[in-house]
Amino acid sequence: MAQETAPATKSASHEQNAATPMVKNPTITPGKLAMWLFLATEVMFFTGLIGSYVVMRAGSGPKGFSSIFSPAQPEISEMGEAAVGLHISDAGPTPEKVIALVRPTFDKCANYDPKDLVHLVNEGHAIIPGQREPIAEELAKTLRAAGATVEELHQTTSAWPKPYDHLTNPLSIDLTAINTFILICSSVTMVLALARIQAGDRLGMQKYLLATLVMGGVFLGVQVFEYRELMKMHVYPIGVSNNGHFLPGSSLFASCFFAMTGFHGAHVAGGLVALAVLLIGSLFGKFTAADHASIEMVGLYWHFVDLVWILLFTVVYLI
Amino acid sequence: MSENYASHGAQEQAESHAPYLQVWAALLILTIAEYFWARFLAGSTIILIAGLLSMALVKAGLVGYYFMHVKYEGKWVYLLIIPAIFMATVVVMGLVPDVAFHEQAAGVPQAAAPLNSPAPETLPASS
Repeated sequence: MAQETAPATKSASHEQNAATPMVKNPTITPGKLAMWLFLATEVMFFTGLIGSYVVMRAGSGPKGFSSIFSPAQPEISEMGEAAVGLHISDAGPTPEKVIALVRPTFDKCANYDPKDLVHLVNEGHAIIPGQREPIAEELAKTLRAAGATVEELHQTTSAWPKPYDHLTNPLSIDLTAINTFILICSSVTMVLALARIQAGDRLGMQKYLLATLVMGGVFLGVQVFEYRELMKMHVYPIGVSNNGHFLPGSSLFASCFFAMTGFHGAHVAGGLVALAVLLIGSLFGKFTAADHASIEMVGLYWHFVDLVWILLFTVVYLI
Repeated sequence: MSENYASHGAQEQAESHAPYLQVWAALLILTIAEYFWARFLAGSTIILIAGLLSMALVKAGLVGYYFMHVKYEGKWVYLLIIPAIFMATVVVMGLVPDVAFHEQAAGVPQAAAPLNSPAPETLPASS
């Protein structure tokens, strides 16, 4: 009887050990050590960028950004609450007349291209730069006589553009949140690719590697699209930029944004090249269950790029 | 050699049982939570920042611990990660007095302050 039970007990414990194997003395390969050392240097690199952003933002004066002046203009503090801007929500039946009426104010306080000014007024997002209240009221009366729908805007200021404040912050949080999730999904497929090749399934590894490459490419494509919108295609109110386009020189916020996301994008691009090299190599039968160190190394790099973006998105877009 | 091979195999077997899809679901939930936290708490600075940073750090931790396999590596990984994070924190903290609190930086002329204004609560700039 004892002999009949002993094998059953031994087999049960063997199955349990197979399901949850104990790990002793994990292998430290030179490649893995080198990659982790490189990632430690990358921590310092991105700390330089994100840390500088945090420190510069914390040190910004309380009135660096205004709803009715371009960033860091002395008028923000000089005029204070006495400054009144105008919001043209509808240019009315004669937009060219409205544009001609507002152009002198824009020429004095901003640097909008005439075509961009036309675009801004026609779209109903035009914010006329701040002036003394009597002058603003006079202009509002003239614009209403020309058929435009105008409302007065008293100046609001902030140390830094707030999320969702379309008068000072042009960033699209909705699109970037989806893009963040795409990058997270690419990280999942990357680790699944490693799991597949560890199990000897080369085809599964290739599929997940391809999925990682595609999603990484989508992420980068959306970033390029966003850059194009910010820098060229969209015309923003005066509180975002002096000329309506969000460029690295538009403000300290703009400069920081492009430096951080630009360097991150460059890292993503480098990762995509590495992933493409891996995929092509795998198509030539390069990786096996016993030999797949490169998959793990590139995977570590890719997860780190995702990790940095998680922090970047939170600090730059959401806070 | 055979012991290392056996432990390497055991390590990879442990990694292949990692809960990747559960971690992915947690990351999805946290991303959605961050989005709505930022949208509806935009006016409350401290709660906004504390909540968002907590969620971001949890997400980063999940990616590091499970996807980067820090869970399955030896203690040597922490020997590399912890000094880097420590130096990163010290560098930022070191910049704060000079950049974030620049009004108290050395060289600000004391005569510029009005005589009838209250004394500043911070320590005077060192010469």
